[in-house]
Amino acid sequence: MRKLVSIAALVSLLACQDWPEPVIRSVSPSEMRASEATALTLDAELHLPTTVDYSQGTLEVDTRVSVRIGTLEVPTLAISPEGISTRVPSVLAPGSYDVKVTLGDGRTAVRPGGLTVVEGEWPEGYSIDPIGPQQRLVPFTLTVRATGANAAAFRGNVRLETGAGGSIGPRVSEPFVDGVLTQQVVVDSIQSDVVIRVTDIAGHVSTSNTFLLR
Amino acid sequence: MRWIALLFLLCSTAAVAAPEGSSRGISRKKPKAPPREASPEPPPTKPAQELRYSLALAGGGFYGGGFNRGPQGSAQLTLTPPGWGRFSLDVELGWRLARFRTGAGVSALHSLPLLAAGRMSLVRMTHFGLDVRAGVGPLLALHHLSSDFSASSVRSSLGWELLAGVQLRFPLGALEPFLDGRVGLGEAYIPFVIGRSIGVQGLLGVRYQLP
Repeated sequence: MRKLVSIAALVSLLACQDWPEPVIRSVSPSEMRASEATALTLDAELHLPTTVDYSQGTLEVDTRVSVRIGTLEVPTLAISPEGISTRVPSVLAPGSYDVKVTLGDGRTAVRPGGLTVVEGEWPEGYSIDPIGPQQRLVPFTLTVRATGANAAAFRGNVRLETGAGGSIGPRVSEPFVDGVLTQQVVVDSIQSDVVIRVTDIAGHVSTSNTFLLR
Repeated sequence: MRWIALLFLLCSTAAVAAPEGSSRGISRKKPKAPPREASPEPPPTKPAQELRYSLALAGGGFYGGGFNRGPQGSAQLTLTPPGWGRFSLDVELGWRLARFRTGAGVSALHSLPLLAAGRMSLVRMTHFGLDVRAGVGPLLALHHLSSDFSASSVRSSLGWELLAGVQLRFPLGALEPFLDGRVGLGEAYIPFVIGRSIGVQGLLGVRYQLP
């Protein structure tokens, strides 16, 4: 019986057909300030599903990789054999978050408490440069300036919103650069008079002038 | 599978039975020899009545279409039991490698068959011989993949392999160079790998008759 078990174990070892499960070895940095967009590197062992065709001599790599910090999905900037580069916007409240990676075929790796968000330094408010008449779904440039004591050092993100019946893209801005955000946005709305509202997780809110949307 | 095993069993049975049957037939037809005085020494043992072994090493290549091609090697242990006549049994461990590189990475498929093969000698001359072989056995496939996007991986699978082929032998005493030509059929399924490192195979080798 023991021999049978040994043989079965050996055979199952030899017949290891599936891709290895992904592993997150470390998250660097493991701590970020709530008010600063932070570039994150995941030191991870990822075996991306790859279709190998010997008759054609082709390798097709499924590079779909999703990274979540808590419930927030963050963009994947680069994938390499050493891991993943991503950027976490400043839209997370202080606390500890699980870091989760999901590959294109559904395999996942989780690092519990992989990222800790600590208190940040927010500006006292924001001002939005005047916006002229715009066309629906045609990109235009939005300029937002942080105001107050910490304004010049602010490198965080804000949420962008429009009034009821409208939508704006993106919903989370790019990071401010030395207190200024210059961002291409697209607006659609059933209204012709529209405002854009800027908020952050510290509770600051700023509203643009009302502009005409054709 | 079953018919191959049955065929091999029949061939083996025939090989074992044939020499004994013929020797009995001859002894019945022969007139009885006049009684002789018993020899004080027993007759020497004939080499043909011993189990004979030979070991062969061979290298070559295979082609199965597209990038299903590459080098291969083989180690063959041949056993010829006494009374098997033209038949022998081979135990063969093989290795084949199909490998290609693209901009995305490198793929290498190693195949390691362990085969039991029946061998029948069709032609046996002083410096030339022709054998046919057929065999079957388990096949271990190992797939190694390294890419610019992903960590290297090794996956494996167990499958089966069949072979049929011929060997041209050129006996030179204890050493025997040979040419081996064969076709193979088999499968060891590894998900996401479309390929088979099998097909038409040619090898050049040398066999050594073990003492």
